[in-house]
Amino acid sequence: MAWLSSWLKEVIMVVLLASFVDLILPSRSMERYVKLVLSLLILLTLLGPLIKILTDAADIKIAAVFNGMNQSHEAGGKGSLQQIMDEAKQLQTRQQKQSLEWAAREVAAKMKDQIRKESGEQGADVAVVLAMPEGTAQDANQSPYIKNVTVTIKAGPASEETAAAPPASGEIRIDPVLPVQIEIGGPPKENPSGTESGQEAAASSEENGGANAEAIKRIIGSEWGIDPEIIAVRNGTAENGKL
Amino acid sequence: MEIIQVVGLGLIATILILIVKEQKPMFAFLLAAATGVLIFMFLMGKISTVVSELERMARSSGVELIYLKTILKIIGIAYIAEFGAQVVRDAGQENIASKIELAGKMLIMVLAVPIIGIIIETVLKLLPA
Repeated sequence: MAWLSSWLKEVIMVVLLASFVDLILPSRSMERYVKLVLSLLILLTLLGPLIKILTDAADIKIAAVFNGMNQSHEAGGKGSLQQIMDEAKQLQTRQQKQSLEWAAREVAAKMKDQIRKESGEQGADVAVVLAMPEGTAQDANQSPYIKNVTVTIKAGPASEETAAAPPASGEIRIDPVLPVQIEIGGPPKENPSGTESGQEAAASSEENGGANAEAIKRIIGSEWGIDPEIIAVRNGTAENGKL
Repeated sequence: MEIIQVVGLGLIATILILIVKEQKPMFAFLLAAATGVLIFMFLMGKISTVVSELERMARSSGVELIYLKTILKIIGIAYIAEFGAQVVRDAGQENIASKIELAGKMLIMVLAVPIIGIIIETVLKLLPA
């Protein structure tokens, strides 16, 4: 009997509400429309138990439809809010990446200048990788840090070549060539391209490039306040320079 | 005694409008619109009392809150559309006023759509296949 009394209560309440709304309606022009909706609501309440048996709960359905309407209205036909937020995040990430790349290029140019001034190394190429601190991508005020620095020294014939054709050397030098890596005093794990070939070649050119590399590491490390461990100095061989 | 305030405000506004109307009909219209908005705002507090009482009653009697929300939306749409239409009509733009009323009617009908859908679905299920 509980359901009967609750159903009756509901019906009475809705009818009362409807008559109340009818009273406070502002004008006659809306009357017919408002009455239609109100009578539909009363009908829905009367049919309540039947609807519960035959279909899902009516109120949940109505709420879902209204929610759908509101969402499509708010988004202005451009998809959901979530979609827009996702796009914004993508744009932000791309922008951040671009600015990091730009900053890395600037830092690399500065380092190159410094190396030339301090150690007299002419054909050194510097590649800097900047990164944002992990887990704080949302925070725009976070400042990036230098993840690693790779200095490629063009030794021997290569440096002579660059001296012979200085303007073109910067353009022609191609990054993907397999450079010979010298790792002095630091574990090779810091450098992603610390391959076996690099290790082998390092042995041959260690004696002439070692001191120089150490100096470069010291210069950059002290000047920029970064750990010398993350600076990798490679020695570009003659054949690399020709490429 | 708020009714005296409202009526007083209305009377003063009417007298002012009658005085101003001869010289500056534009200001008369602005005054009328501002008075309307003021009275509307004045009633807002009272309306919120009524609405919260209705909500309490609906909750205690177990009426689905979505029904109450629908009813309140109907009242809101009807009042706002009526108010806007009257202000525009006062300014002499009968055409726009009727469009505002049409918009109000349409929005009320939109509220009826899900209800009609559920009722029709139920009726169709009642019928033997």
